[in-house]
Amino acid sequence: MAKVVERPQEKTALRVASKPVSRLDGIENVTGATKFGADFSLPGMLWGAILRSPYAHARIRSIDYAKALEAPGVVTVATAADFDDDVVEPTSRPHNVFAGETALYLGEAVAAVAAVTMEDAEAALELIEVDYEPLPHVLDPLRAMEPDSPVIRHGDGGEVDRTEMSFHSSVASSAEDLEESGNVSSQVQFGRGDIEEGFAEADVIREGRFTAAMVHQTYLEPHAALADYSPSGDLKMWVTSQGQFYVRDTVARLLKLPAHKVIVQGTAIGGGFGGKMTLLAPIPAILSKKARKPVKVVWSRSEELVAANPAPASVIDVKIGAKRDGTITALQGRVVMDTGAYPGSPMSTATMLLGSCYVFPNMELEGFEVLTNKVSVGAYRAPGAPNSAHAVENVMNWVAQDIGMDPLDFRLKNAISEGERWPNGQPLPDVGAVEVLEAMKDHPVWGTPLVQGSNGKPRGRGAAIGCWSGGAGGSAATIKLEADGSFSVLVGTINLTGNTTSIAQVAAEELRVPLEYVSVHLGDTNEAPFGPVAGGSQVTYTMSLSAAAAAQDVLRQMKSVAAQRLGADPDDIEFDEGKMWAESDPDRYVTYRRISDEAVGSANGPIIGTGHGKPERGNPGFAGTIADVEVDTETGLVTILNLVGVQDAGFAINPLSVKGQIQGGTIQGVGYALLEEIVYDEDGRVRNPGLLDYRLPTAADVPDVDAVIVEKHNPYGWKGTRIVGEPSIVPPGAAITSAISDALSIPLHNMPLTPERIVMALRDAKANGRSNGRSNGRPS
Amino acid sequence: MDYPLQLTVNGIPVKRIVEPQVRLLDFLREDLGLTGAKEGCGTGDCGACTVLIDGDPHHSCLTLAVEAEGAAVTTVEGLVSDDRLNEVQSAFVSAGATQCGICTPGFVVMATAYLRDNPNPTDDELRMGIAGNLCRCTGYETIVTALHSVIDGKVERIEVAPEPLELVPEPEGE
Amino acid sequence: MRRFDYAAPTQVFEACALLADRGDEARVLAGGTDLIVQMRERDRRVPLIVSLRNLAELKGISQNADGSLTIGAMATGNEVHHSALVQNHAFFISEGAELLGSIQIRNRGTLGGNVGNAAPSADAAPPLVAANATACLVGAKGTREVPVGDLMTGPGQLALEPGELIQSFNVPAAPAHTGTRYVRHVPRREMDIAVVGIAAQVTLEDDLATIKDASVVLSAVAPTWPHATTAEQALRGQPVNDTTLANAGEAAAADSRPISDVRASAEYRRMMVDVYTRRALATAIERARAAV
Ligand SMILES: Cc1cc2nc3c(=O)[nH]c(=O)nc-3n(C[C@H](O)[C@H](O)[C@H](O)COP(=O)(O)OP(=O)(O)OC[C@H]3O[C@@H](n4cnc5c(N)ncnc54)[C@H](O)[C@@H]3O)c2cc1C
Ligand code: FES
Ligand code: FES
Repeated sequence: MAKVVERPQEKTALRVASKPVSRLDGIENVTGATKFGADFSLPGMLWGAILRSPYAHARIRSIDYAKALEAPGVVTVATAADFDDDVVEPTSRPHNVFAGETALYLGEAVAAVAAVTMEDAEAALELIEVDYEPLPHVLDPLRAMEPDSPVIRHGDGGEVDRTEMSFHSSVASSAEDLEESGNVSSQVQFGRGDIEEGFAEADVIREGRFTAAMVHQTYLEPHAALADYSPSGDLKMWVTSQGQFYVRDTVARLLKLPAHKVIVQGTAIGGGFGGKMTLLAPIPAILSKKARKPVKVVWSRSEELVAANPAPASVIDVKIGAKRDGTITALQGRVVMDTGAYPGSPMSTATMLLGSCYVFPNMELEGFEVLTNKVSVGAYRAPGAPNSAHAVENVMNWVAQDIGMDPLDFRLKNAISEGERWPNGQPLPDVGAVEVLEAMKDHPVWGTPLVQGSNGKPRGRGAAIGCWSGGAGGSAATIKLEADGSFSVLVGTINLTGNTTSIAQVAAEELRVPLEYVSVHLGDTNEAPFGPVAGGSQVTYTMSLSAAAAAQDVLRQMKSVAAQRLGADPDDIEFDEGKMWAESDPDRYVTYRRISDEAVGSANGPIIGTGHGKPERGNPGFAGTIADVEVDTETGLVTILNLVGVQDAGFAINPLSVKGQIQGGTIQGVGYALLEEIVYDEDGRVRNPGLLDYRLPTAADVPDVDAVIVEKHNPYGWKGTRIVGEPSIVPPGAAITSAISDALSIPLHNMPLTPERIVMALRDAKANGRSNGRSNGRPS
Repeated sequence: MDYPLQLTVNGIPVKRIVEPQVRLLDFLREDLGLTGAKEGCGTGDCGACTVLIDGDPHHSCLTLAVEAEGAAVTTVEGLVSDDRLNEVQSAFVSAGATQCGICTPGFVVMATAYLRDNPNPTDDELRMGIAGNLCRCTGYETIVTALHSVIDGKVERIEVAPEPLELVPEPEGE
Repeated sequence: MRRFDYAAPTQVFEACALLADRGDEARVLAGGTDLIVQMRERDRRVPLIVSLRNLAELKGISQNADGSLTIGAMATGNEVHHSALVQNHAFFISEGAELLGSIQIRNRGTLGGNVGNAAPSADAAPPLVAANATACLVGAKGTREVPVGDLMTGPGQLALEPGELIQSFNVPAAPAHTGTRYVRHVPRREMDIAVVGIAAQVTLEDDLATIKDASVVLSAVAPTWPHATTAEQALRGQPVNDTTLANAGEAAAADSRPISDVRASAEYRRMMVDVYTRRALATAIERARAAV
């Protein structure tokens, strides 16, 4: 099996951390007891429905909703006019709840109705009269960059809002935004060395233009939010979102309410993956404020696919040069990212990540974020990174093939390590690129040569790696010692991926009690200490630090109570399994329960510990995928035979949960590689707004993922923890497309590689006289 | 137009007046407060709304409530018996087959019926059998593993009530 | 969903009377796996739903004295798929029914609904056409038999008189040495809509090496479920070999009239008609030989 870098002595000393613990909320999930966004209702509640622009680009001359207001059951209607000008940021999607003067994409919200029943609300939408003046629109980002393209304008300029992207990545892109023109809303450049010289030194140069489609995060739970505006001016909300404080701040600002008057309770969340932030919450909020009644809005799946914030399509050019001995000499790359109708795409990250896995002595990278009349994009698990990896890693495999080197050896020779610099100049801490590559090399799948089947369907193998910088936000937690000696932890970050379990494990570990002694509760924004947005894989990374700090605070207070009772010095107090004693007299002890009793009656009062945490810095996580595929060349259907996902988790607090993350991320990568794509027609309408034609992989379409955890200690995380959630989605698209390319012996440039794309690429290759017989690029 | 409706839900007879456009899913969630069945799509594509109608798995999002007249409906809330999870539920907990959990109710209802009707499927049959239920978080592996443990008869039903904490005894003489 | 009226009559004549009375305003509801979806997407308003759930005449599957098979319009996908009668009689009808969505869809969706919805991409209907099945239509004036192949006149269009509905399908017994196959192309293995579907029924001569008769019906590549007539001609009387199959594939591709849509381009569809016609025929021939 793969080599795992561990510290065994340290692990055996741990009681719950590092153990595969099943989710604490497991029983609630399997009995239907867990309450998600749409599961909350209130007496007298109204239902909201949203009217959307039927045009990809249109001036809104007027909106007349008088008739809708008279319709049965209708209580109120909201439009852009309900928000003051000074709270609307022209270029920020979250602050443009409704289209103002112009609708910028088909499906943009124009108005919303609150009515007694959903049927009434939907019926009333048709009674709203909107006078649109259609404007010319542009959908293709390359076309949008041309000087004569229709131009997308957001009123009079304004700062570009990149808040959501910053949740995911702690890496600043050093290059300032260069001159912005037309629909190019942002531009970056990174350079190093002399690019021409670099290519001149190379023996082999390969290049290609790669496209990746717009894909949707497709959390299975659509957006939902319930708002209840009380007569006293409190706005209480139940929202499914990755960041309840972010929702609170956005709503407070838009409605001009004091932050403490907007009380947001994050609900259980049915998946987010970066895409569930604050798109919906302001709508029920404004409707409830106007109606003075609770209002619930739940998006349909088609609203999700048409009007949420999917991951961007991109066109990426990559050119890599290397010497015969495998030394890379140069990298040139250009990213064009389609951001849709609002800026805020992960373009600069994607551009930088082109040069983030290997040492490139000479490099020239540029990136363009381009506006089009499509829904604006958002974050999706390692935003932009799968697009970059798809381009770079395919070219890496071609170069390895041309110089006759094993693709993993080629990568190992050039892999980035501590002290090397990313394109933005930031020196790297000790990353696990080499360890991940070595674990891939050691894996039995890689060690076994691929055997061609007897059914005439060619097989191929692909390998790829990728990385993600990850967030490193600040967080806090409080822990209370309860009357019976158990503990309750209060946090403000929602339970996205089982992190509640990890937080409980950390607290139990620090407090030296069994896991059953600890419960974790998500408080609303007024109860709970601040917790960061659950994005950028940062929850466990940062919350483990604050939970550990809070536990230490609790222990300090407990020790002082125990010391007093035992007549000892607090510094001499030892503790374990629910009791404390003085080092000098181990036979006399006080129980945690007694300490609680005592504290409640004392002048210091009950024991509540607070902890803050912010990792000193982000530390990128690396992941690798090996894929074996078989291709039916007549139909283009691909079968994945083997799928190996390797990831450096630093220190796996809960290996079960880490493996689950690797498996889930890898299978999402299968969607990127083979199936998923939001398709637009010429008018800017999504042609596949449902889950029958927007195809997620089903259980029948995917193999098991052999998930391998590598542990390379991260000095900035609790016991060496690293970000976990995101890296696993980065390399699979590249590995699988590369495996298909290997099977067919033709270069392939698109994601997803649908059966049709594969058949057409084969036909074109045949027409151009390229063989489609098999030639394996790897020396065997 | 109001329509009288009689059916049993999780073994309990229910009598209500409903409008015909109300889907069984809405009826269960809004009228009866049984929010275990989820709406992931509303169009039959995800399986999150799966309930049993007279023992067979159906999409409650594509079933009008009035079409369940006289039927015995079982939701995920009805799978627990004798204070224990059923085998599929127990296996899901033990195998870590739930991440965000939104797909879980539909999956356990579907798999409970599927394994009752097909106690010995091959891995491929099993995967085809549950292909009407989408999960975005797990990549299905832990779900399939959980179901194999049911097939292999290796599952102990988990008790739903938590065990009382074993407290450290107070020292003598306190 | 918009509000509507609902009736669930227990007599076929009542249902027909309601339909005749309300004309375009009424719509029959079988499993609802097409209709509810269409009504939800707001583009389809139906003032009156007439549920078929209480009509006993529309249920069940039975063999008749003349060897033909009667399948009730309300037979669900799962019933048709698992029916031994259907499997022995015309295997590809079971095969087509098995492809409807997922198990949950097949517990609701019916054979009558698959034909009634008249989608060019239907999977359960084309085998009925290829097997020369007739539909028994019932209306105010009684019943009449119409070949299923003549029933669909275009996407979403059926040649039904006002007040008529489909009561059942009658599938004639196939001659000796007949084998069938329904196969479709989709990107996912389950839960998908056909990009191309081919229903093939082949009857061999006693030598088991010559094709006596063949029926090839196309799905998702024309406005209806047409026979690929040139392909059928190219098969009759020919020896079973790769050339014959290749010729039939090419002919079927030429017979198809696909459009480009979100699922595939017309060009790719045509290529797949060729591939899947060959594959469907090969399996049908294998089964014909095994059938004896
Ligand atoms: C997720 C999903 C996946 C699907 N996958 C497939 C697939 O793979 N292949 C496929 O072919 N289909 C598929 N379908 C479509 C659908 O399930 C089938 O067409 C099914 O057979 C429809 O039957 P139903 O009883 O549900 O029809 P309904 O929705 O009840 O009715 C469909 C139409 O037929 C009419 N109708 C019904 N019964 C009669 C009758 N007896 N006489 C006259 N008219 C009648 C109705 O008025 C309506 O217009 C899928 C649907 C969904 C939601
Ligand atoms: S909600 Fe019913 S199948 Fe998705
Ligand atoms: S666990 Fe989240 S969708 Fe399945």
